[in-house]
Amino acid sequence: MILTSIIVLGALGFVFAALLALAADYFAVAVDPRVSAIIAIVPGANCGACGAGGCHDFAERVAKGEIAVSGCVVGGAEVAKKIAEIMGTAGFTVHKRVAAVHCGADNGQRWRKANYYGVKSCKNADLVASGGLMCSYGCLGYGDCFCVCAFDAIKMVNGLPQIDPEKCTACGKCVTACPRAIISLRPYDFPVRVACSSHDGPAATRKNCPVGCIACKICEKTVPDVFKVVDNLAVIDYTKTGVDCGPAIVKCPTKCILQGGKNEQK
Amino acid sequence: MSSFRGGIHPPENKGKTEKSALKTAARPVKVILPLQQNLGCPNEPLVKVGDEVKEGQKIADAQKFISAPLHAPISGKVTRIEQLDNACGFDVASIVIEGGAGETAYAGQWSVEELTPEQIRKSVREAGIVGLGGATFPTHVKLTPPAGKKIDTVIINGCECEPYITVDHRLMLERPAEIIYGARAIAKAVGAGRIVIAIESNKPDAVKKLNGQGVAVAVLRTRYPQGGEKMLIRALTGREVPSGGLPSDVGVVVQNVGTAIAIAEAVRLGKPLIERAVTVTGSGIKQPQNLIVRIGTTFKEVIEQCGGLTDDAAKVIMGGPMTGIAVSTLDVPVVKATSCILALSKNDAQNYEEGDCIRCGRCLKVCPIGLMPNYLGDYAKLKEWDKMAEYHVADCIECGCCSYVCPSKIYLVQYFKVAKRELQTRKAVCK
Repeated sequence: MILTSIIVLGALGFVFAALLALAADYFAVAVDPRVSAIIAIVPGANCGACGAGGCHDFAERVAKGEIAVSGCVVGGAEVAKKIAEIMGTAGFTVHKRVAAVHCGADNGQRWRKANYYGVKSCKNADLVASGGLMCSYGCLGYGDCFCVCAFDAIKMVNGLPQIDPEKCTACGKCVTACPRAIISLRPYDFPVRVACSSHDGPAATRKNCPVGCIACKICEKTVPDVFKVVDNLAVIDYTKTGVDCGPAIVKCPTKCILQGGKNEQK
Repeated sequence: MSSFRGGIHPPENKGKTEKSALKTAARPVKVILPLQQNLGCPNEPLVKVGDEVKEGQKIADAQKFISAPLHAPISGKVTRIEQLDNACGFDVASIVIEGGAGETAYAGQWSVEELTPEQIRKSVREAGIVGLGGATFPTHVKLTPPAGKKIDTVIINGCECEPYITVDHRLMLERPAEIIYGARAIAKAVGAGRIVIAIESNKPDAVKKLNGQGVAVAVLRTRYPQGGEKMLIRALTGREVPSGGLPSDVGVVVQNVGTAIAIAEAVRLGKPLIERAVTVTGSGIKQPQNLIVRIGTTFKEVIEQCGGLTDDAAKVIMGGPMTGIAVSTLDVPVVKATSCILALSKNDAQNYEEGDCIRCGRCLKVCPIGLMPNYLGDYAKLKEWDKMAEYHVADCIECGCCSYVCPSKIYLVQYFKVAKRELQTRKAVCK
């Protein structure tokens, strides 16, 4: 009895195995080998910064040619180079970018007009009376950017986000998390940044903040190639690389032009 | 007594001002007029710095349909047009006029009988009238029923369910004839046959005053937010405004009593909306009273006329305690939305740290719309905006009942406001 059932079930097992093997061969879907090769390379954080729905989607779309080989912002130059090898396109350069904070007022320099007692989040604070701040452009200091950073690249120092340029992958999550849009992605190699976002006139900025851009145009006169004051705010022309911006940092009367890019501090 | 599901009954605190008759405030010598004082599109100034303007002259307007023009509340000279603080704490483009008494730019004498609905709408629009209950939706838009929709009922809202505020109560006692005149004008403009004046049961004297004047008066249970449009329609007609819909979808138009008086003045005299009734009250005001204030008068001037702030005043709010907004400076002007200036003493204006949800479900019980604030709060903390949209956060009327009853003092309404703004900007981006 036992022997019969073992033989019957064993035989059935062989038959089904053979059928499955045939079906697997017959219904096989051809996968682009490049897709699996790209998936093996990308960091696999599924952050979505490339614009695709996760790393698998990214790999498929790169293989189709819809996204550039340098599309993975987290992977940076290294990953881009490897993907380029897989895709058979080489001979290009990737410019690494990092997040830059365009506000320099920490807790002590942030002048207040009211006390804010609501939810401790920038998005919430921004809804009521500028979160109690005099300046309606500057950092609110509740760290929404810090909370979304998946790479531990943002530290809150005295109420102001500080970017670690080595850890920052320019995924752009902090850029969208900030309700005041004071964070942007800038070239890693560019050594300065404007730490102010205020478009208020000089008198209003003076009234609101000790370290705000007062549109005095000294930077424009000192390093004319790079700086230009537009709508009461100093703006950097990031295409002008290789110019020494040191004098502008030294001469800025309110100290709102700071080290940036890989030299980022404060 | 008819009412709605949910709601709360906070201490009314109306005693300080409900017996004080409306008094006309001193004419200001300087007014600050934010260009946008209504929901919808912002206005463009029609005057320049240095121009002489007459009282009641139109000084700003927009071309779009959902907008309301702005008029000079005093005669004088335009001295500044620049970004100034408004009561919500944002810098907005404003016109400053300095001057005083002078001739007025309006005159007229009409009666409702001889005007066509189109003419009524036009005079309401030209008078810059917006919903004076606080939502400031342009009134002429409400008076224009969408094509294919029949309006059969006009509800005049005299509930005034928000604590502290007593202006609508005083208007009903002192100017009943104008309310009924305005109600008739509204009914004629929308072609409705039925007018109902809705009053909460805590104002029996107002009910008595308006009864027997030829329109129906409905007495409703005293319960917050009875004065909300959707609650009122539910209580009086049994109809439910669909999610994302408007009262006109169920054949109803709701107007506040203050708006009805403004309409009466606009239709009969051509008078634009340049002043409004404001309750100045709270434990932080020395002499609480009801004032007729010209739009653009600063809070400081208004409060000075009420004896000033007490020494322990800690917080000044524009609007009532449930839906109002705390102001950061008293240099902000009274706008079309200012129904109340509430000053609270240190003892009344306490702040609480928010705690964690303990799943008691009280917010579910009080939500007049029938939302689930507990889940919405959880999702808001996780910033799951899409999930919040699924749970109908867009239908929230921001009445504040859930935050009021929450034993953990979670700032639910603030979270919902952020979510609504987030979803709206996302929608705009998607377009």
